[in-house]
Amino acid sequence: MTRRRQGRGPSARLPVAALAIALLAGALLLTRLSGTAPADSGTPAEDSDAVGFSRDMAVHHQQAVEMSLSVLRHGTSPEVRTLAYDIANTQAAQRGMMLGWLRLWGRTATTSGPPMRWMDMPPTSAEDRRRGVLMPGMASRADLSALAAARGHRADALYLRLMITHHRGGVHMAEAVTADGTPQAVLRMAREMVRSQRTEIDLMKDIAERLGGAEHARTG
Amino acid sequence: MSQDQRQHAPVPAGDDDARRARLDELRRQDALRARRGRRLRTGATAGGVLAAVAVVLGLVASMHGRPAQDPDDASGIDPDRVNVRGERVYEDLERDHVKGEVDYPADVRPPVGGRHDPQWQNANGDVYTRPLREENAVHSLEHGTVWVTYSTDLPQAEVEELRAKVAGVPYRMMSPLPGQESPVRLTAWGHQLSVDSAADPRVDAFFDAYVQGPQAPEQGAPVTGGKATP
Repeated sequence: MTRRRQGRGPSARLPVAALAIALLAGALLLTRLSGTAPADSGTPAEDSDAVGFSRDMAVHHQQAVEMSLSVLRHGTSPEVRTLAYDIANTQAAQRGMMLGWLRLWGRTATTSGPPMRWMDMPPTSAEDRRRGVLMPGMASRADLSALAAARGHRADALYLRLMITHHRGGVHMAEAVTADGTPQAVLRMAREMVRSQRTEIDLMKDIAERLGGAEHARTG
Repeated sequence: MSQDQRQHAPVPAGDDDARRARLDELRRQDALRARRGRRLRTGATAGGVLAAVAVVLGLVASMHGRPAQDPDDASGIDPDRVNVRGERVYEDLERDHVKGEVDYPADVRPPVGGRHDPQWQNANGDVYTRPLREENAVHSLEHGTVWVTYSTDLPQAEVEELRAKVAGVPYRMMSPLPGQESPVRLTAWGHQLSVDSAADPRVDAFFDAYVQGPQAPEQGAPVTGGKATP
């Protein structure tokens, strides 16, 4: 065996190596010529995680931006304002990226079909839909009005309560994205969302506790 | 020495002929083995080449078999053309902000674009029960809204059907429009569809095409934080 291996080695490996190089060169050339990136660049299907997630999360994020801008107008706590400033910017940018992906994939930004179908969740009830609660964790229109009307510490506290729930729903949705056929950029963003929103949930709980304690000390 | 040779029986000493015959036999076997090895190698190489050719051909075929990769065309929504059967398309609409009233063309109601108020009408799934000021509503169209208007003659059941499609859904809004000739009209920036009934399947098709669609001159712009009442 050893001798055979020694004897065949160099002469046998040469054509294989040459073949591999030729193949690689050929593939690269083809890629360059056709202007198509290899693998991964396929357009996700209409019912894929990538398309469903991008559509639904763009809507979900839009509400987070709206709530954050609301508390930036009327809130008091510097900590809450910093967080809201962060969330508004981050989620507005991420929403733009998701809508951009949809455009590049040739998919419409929205569909009249029920949301969350891609993640096997039951469709929103007609009642929830009417209230504006289209997806997990979303605030109702009444909640949004209450937030817009609240001032000072009440606005801070309500924002934290609504945004903790909102983030929990967002994490749940982002966790539903499977690696199966999902472009890397989408998968990466979903994973990052899970991580950063979890961290922010902890932060918000912490702030809420402190603000609650301070409020209690002031009034009581 | 190698395992190969150790597999052969030891060469008996003393008998020259027998030893020569045994050596010849060994050489013959070596030659055979070498030939077999060459054959195997040639076979492997030929197989490899064939496989490579197959892979390359497959690659070429898959690339040519794929439809032309122009992502902008893939959704089939071309902002400058008819995308929903029966809709009307308008081009070269002005976009300036103006404080006062705008004289929108009388033959296109509600207006599908043009100069508008600096403040947009909220269209975050807002259902208005009174007619909207057009100067504000047009600004929402610019942000990617589909605006549903209905004739005041429309039966209440149909109004409810429309409401169910609009209420709470971002970038959709609805309002009555007294004197509107057709019962229901859907308007996006530069696009308008008139239907006789809320149940017309083209209603959903129009929403799908234009809610935050490519026709919007300001994509990503908000439909909250604007004018909240008619």
